[in-house]
Parts: sequence; structure tokens; C-alpha cells
Amino acid sequence: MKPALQVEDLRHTYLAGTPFEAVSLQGVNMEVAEGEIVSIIGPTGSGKSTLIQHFNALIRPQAGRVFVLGQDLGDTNLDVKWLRRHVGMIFQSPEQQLFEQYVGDDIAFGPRNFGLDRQEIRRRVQKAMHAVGLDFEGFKDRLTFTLSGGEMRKVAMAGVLALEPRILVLDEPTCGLDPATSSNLLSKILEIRDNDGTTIVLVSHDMESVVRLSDRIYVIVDGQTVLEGTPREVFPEAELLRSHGLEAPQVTQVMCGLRNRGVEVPVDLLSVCEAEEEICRCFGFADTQEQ
Amino acid sequence: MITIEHLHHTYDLDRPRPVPALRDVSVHIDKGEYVVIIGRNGSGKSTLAKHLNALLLPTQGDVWIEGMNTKDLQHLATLRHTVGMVFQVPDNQLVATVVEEDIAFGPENMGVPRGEIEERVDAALDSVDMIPYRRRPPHMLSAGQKQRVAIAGVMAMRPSCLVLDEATAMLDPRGRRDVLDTVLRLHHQGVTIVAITHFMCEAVEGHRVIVMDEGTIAMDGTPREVFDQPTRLRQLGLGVPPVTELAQRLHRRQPSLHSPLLTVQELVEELCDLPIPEGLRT
Repeated sequence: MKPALQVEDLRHTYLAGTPFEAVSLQGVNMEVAEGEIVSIIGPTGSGKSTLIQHFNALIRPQAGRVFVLGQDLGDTNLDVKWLRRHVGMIFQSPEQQLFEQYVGDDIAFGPRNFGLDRQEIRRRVQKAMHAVGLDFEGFKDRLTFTLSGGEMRKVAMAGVLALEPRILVLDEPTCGLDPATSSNLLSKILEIRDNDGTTIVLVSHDMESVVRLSDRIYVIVDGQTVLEGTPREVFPEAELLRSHGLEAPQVTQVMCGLRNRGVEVPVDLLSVCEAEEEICRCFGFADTQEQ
Repeated sequence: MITIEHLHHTYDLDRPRPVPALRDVSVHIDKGEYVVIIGRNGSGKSTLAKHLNALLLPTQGDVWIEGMNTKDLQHLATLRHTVGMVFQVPDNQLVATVVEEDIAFGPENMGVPRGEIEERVDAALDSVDMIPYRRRPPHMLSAGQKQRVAIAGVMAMRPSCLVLDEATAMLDPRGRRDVLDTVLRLHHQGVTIVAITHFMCEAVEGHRVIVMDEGTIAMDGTPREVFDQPTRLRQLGLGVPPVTELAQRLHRRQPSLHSPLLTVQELVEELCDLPIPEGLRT
């Protein structure tokens, strides 16, 4: 499959040549295929935000190259408007970006700006609201400031989805949401990929979300990729993750804990169900599950 | 320490559509307790927290802090030093350009004598393990470090109770662990802790978990009692930590395993105590 996103030896230094010079990225390489969900994890200050800000040209490459949907972002003739229409960015706490009085207007703002006709705008708003699980008739005329935090976040996401981006970049989408709301939002993100083939890049500190969504993971530390692979490849590296201030999902930690105590169990397990089956098999617990 | 009696709080009381946030909440928190409050978005957790140092006043009912009624304005200053608050975003809470000056800000305002301020700043920095950073500008610190400075700033006022409103939400796993360890240490020094969180695995660190729903207290018990009711928690928009769910499922198939288990460590220990089949041992 051809890559939607390609990063080659990307480097970035803030305030270069001043006493406040700070190296943020020092040679990042990554590749995301179309329709893939890739997570970027790393401790605070590792350069994750700097990296994703390149994807819609909020930051231009200083050294190294970034290709998005075949376009070279180092190209001075880059059509930034085209790029931003195809790369949707949802930053942390996007509910703070709502500014229209009515939900429907807020979601329609992007498509209106791109000069689409009324009917197309309505179709897109409807579709975007459906994608995040907001009822069109029930919510389009609601006042934005009367919504709950979770609802506001969905409106903000719908506003980006209404542009029908081919790549969606999400920075901490579930931060501050309760478990039920965040679980619901994660299912919606999976559906967006499954229904529209949208490529998704996720940045998160919440390993339980990362494990649920990701096809692959990049671990970025001090502006460099230290580990890359599927969740099953990355999370059993408990020691390495811990040394960088990260941690594996609890289930993987249990399996690694057993292994460390000399019990020969597989460690590349991610979900509660898998771990249940595997532990029962290894320890010879009752075979049939009684409900 | 904290007694709340029939507390009601309604936002926009004088507007056409008043929003009831707390309905008839009564709860007592003893000195030295470590209480974690969980609940879905909009359940009233933060509203409750803001009543603990009179950032909000009751629409109806009373809140007593060490015998002081929060409605009694003559106690306001004392009340604010008695209950310290730490919020989600530390940047909103840091005021000075050097860490130690930021921490001195509270006691300075209280009129604490110079010599004692220095003493308090040292003790506060030590309690959050940030002494090496005392002369650094706060904005150059990591998010977790900033949050610890914010806690130190509050601790320099020598509060007997610390309220944390999602203080770990924005942090990476290490930053979160550092803040939680700091909170545990303060708790061991006798500080009463009230912490609000959406992370179920943080809720297990407290001694008591209060679950809020629609402005009322839906559950109140030890973490073991509360997390032993996964179905009820799910109805309330919450859940149990993955390791607890795993332990519950294993318990169904091997009743000799205890349940609920709250941490990875506990489950690993329990499993290792079982007879381990030949061939599994390395």
C-alpha cells in the first residue's frame, strides 16, 4: 500500500542560534500507510507535538523530508490550503475551539469556508455528526455552551470530520473524559477508519487507548524513534518503556510480571480476554466459563 | 475535618434554566483520610471540590471545614490556607519566574515572617522532591515537575487538606507516578487528601472511593468494596481497572483466586502462590 505519510530523518531545533536553542527532533523516520492507525507515544517533551505539527505544515521541515499524500512539505510552492483540507488536526481539549452559537453552524464552518454549496454542506454536517455519534436533528440547533464536555469534544471532532480529511491527527482525544465517554469515542474513531478508510495518527499518554486503536506504534524519546512495531511487539518491552517513563497496558504488565517470577507465559498479550484464556490454559483452570 | 450537610448547588439560579449540580450531598471526611472521587463528566465532582475551600458557596445546606462554616466570611482567609487546591493545568497556577519564589508567594501573602518563609519553602520543595530545581524558571520544567511545584506552592501554606482536581490528567505515565508518589508521601505526613480522577487505576491508591452521579453520592466505600461491583460502576459510566477485570474473570474460573484485586502486583503475587504446573517453571 502506498504511504499516506512519510517522514525521513526529520530534524527540528527551536530558536536556533539563540541562547534558548532547544533541539526537539533529531532524525525521526516514520511511515504511515493509507487507512492505517498509528500511535506516537513518548514522554512529555519528546517532540511528539513538534512532529505532528509538520503534518499540516504548521511547521515546515528544517532538515529532512516530510511527504503527505505524495506532496513534499519542503516544497516552497506547496498548496497549504489543499493540504489542510486533507489533513484534519484535532488538538488537545478541542472543545475550547468552539466559537459558534449553534452546534450545526460550528460544524459547518470548515466546509463553508471551502466554498461548498448548501446541500453538500448539510450532507457533510449530517455525516460528520453521525460519525461521532451526535443525533443530527437533536443537536444541530443546540447552543454550544450548554453541552457537556464530552459532547463539546464530539462537536469539535465533527467540525474537522466535515472537511472529510484523508488523514486525521488526534492529540490526546480522550484526556479528561470519563471511562464510558472515552470508550465510546474510541469506537467512533475505529469506525471512521473502517467506514471511510481514513488514515489516523494518534498521540496519547493513555496506553489503554493506544492498545485498543493502534495497528502500529512509534515510541519517540528525545526527538528520536527508539522503538517501532505492532502493539504486540512494542508493549512486551516493559523494561525499555519504563526506562523512558512510559508503561505497558496493565494486562501486558501482568504477563511480564509472571514471566519475571519465572512462570513461562507469553508476554505479547494485550486484552483482558486474551490474558484470561492464556492464564487459564497455562495454569489449567476450569475450561468452560460459567456465567 | 470536612463535614458536608445536605449540600445543594445550582448554577444559573437566576436564569430561566437553572442547572442543578449537587443535590442533597451529605458526607464526612476525617482528618488524615485519602479520599478519591470518581464519576462521569458532569456528575458534580468538581463542583463538590470547589465547595471545600469556599470557591463556591452552598445554594442550600452547609459545608464545615475544621469547624468553620464556609458561608462565614470572617473565616475565608483561614479556610483557604486550611484547604489547598491543585487543578488540571499547573501553568494556570504558577505565578513567579523562579520556582522558589513561586512557592514563597502563598506564605508571603499570609504575612509569614521572612525566616519562616525560607523554612517553609525548603520543606515544601523537599516534600515534592524538587530541591534541585529551586532556582529554575517553572516554564522550563516538564508538566509533571510543574504540577509538583504547584503542589509545593500549596503545601507552603501548610494546609491540613489537599484537594487535587484531575491533577494528573495532562501528564505522561512517569509524571503521573511522580505526582501520585508525592501525594502518598504528603498523606503519610498526615495531610488529608481529596483527589478527583478519571483514571480508575489511580482510584485504587486511596483508602476510600466516593462515586458521584447526577449530583449525588452513588457509592462510598473502600476501593475493594467499590471495585467489587463492576456492573454498577459500568451503569455509572465508569469501569474497573483492566487488571481488576482480569482478576474477576479468573476468579470465576478458579474460585481460590481472590477478587477483587486492584493492582498488577497483587494479581501476579496471587497467581505465583498457586501451584504452578510442571513445564511452566523456568
